Amino acid sequence: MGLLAGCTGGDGGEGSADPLTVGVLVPFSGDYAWVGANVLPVVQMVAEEVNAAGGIGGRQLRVVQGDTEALPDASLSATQQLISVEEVAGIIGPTSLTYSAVADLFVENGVPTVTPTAGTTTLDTQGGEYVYRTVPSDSIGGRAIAAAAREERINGIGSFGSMALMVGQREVYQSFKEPIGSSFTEFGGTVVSELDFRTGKASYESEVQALTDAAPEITALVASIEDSVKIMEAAYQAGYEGSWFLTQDQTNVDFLSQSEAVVTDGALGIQEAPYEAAQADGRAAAFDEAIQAYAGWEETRLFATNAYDAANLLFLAMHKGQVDDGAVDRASTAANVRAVAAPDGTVVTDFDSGAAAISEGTAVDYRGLVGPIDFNEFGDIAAPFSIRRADGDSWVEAGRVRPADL
Amino acid sequence: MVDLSGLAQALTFGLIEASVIALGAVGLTLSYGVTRFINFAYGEFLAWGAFTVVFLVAIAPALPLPLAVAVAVVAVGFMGVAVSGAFFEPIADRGGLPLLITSIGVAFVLRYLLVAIASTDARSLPVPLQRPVEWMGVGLTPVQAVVIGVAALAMLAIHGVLQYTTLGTVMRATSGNRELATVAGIDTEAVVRRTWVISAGAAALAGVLYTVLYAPVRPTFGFGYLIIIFAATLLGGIGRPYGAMLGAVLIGVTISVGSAYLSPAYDQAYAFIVLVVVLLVRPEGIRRGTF
Repeated sequence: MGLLAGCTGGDGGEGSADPLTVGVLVPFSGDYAWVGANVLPVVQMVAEEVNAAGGIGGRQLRVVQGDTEALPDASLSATQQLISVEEVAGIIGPTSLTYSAVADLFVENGVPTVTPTAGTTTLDTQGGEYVYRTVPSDSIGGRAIAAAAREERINGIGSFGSMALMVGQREVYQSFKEPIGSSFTEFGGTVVSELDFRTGKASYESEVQALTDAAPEITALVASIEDSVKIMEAAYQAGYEGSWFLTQDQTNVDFLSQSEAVVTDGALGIQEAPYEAAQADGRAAAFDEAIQAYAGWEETRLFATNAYDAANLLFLAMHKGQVDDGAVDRASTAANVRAVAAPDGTVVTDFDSGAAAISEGTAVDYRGLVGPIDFNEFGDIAAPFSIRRADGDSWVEAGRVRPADL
Repeated sequence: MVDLSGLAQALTFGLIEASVIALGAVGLTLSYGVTRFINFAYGEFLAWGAFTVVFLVAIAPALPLPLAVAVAVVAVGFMGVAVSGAFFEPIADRGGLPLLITSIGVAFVLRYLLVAIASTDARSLPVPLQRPVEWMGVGLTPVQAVVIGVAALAMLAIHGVLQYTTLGTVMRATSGNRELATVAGIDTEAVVRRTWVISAGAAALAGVLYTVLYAPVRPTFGFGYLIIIFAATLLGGIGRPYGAMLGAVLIGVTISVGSAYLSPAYDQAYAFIVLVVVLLVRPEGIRRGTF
């Protein structure tokens, strides 16, 4: 169980009532500690803004950490601790790495959960009652990768006809495999090799040899940064001549800093694209400025915008419960997550404007930084993707894939 | 029909990995020879060797890499002496089990000391990435060739020490029977200290070569790789340096060929299947003799 991260924003006035506790359930230690480091400051920043405005029904928000360590057993302990000991009103998290281990706990205890990080396809047919997400499913991400690989107008390099799939043997990676492969075939390409590999190995020479024997025009590599660096460098040293397509986990500066440009240059990657409406009205830039100042970041990090939307949705749902029922409870909050993003409501884009409208009895439609947040029946959203190309130590945008394109 | 160039390539990859395993296995078996316990802290010397070089090239980028490696090998060699003096020698007369358990504790101390200093981040050495040079269908990069060459030279040097120096003679005598060697006037404590220098230094060099081949690495990699080194050591007959070299080649080639022709997911399993089979047939290991 992780450290407590108190975030009550003051010690008096309206904070005399018990605080409302919200759990952030992601890895804070281990190889995926970066996820916690990216998500927690955003949730804390939004919670402080809510507290500064008087909290929810006069109750201050208190943010606590649940460290999943990216391991199922640790995740189970952390989730039980949040639910039974901390008695959280809602949870932000978890990741795909541990979702399956704790999914039942959310439902059994009726805990409203909004995950900014779990793209796993397992959630494609679950959720929508207690579990929602502000990150698009890997099935959409995988389809976007396939579409971008086939279309030169999107990737800026060429129309790739043959693809190999190299996918780590963990749920978080395997989740991408079927969507990429089936979509690539559907779009007219040929999958020439499917290679599942054990993660965390010292070397991948045999796997890479099989890859070079298959001679694909492009390889979709779904793996951690560390394994990706090893595989791509081993492939370079084995004479691999094809291109690479990487997923969100690798499409960042950290990945490029761990390898050499001779290996990474020209590699394609995928990231969620900024929501055009949020860019147009300056909200995206304002968030970048705010979170970078708050967290001391040089750039806005992966999952930050997803976490912002997850926090706003959860806090607005709590506020709606407070206004409608005079109290915040898990059941009403879970139902209200969908209600505060109703497409026929008044458009709101942050907690302040949303809470004010809800207090006046107006139905609201929260539109976030990652997209319009229109949940389907399983609590999933659609969002645009940005296709990036590695160029030296940075990524440049090659094109975009919109939900309508898929 | 077997693709001969593919088989040759798999054998070549096996030999490359065997170079690293062999250095580690020889160092481990040398220390076993004079101390008579299985040292679970040995893998940490690999990590300390690699990260000492990472540290040196970070603070002195102008320092030539071979010089940084030499400094690391010597430093970790003396670190081995210090670790032995602090933890193992005081309980040397208590038997193998207390020493083995102590070595597990020492492994944790060394590992987390390194993590505290270097963090858990993965690191690499400034080694150029190269395309392979092909010869008769077998590809090998110059860096991989250098790794094989360095390991071979190091093993020749150890062979020279064992066979042609006074130190080698007294090491073999101490390994054969420490009490008898003491009675014969050999300063066995000094022999043990020198053996630790060679043993830990060999581990440090193995760690550097491992990092050259398989970067990026984390400070915790040594313990995981120790399992493979153990396999080679046991296969060769523990306490027998030349057996360890042979065992390393067999393990390296088995892992590579098994990965290429069966499944790369079970690489370590192949090593241990071979180990179990060989030990069932020849419990003393693949090499005869006492050293």
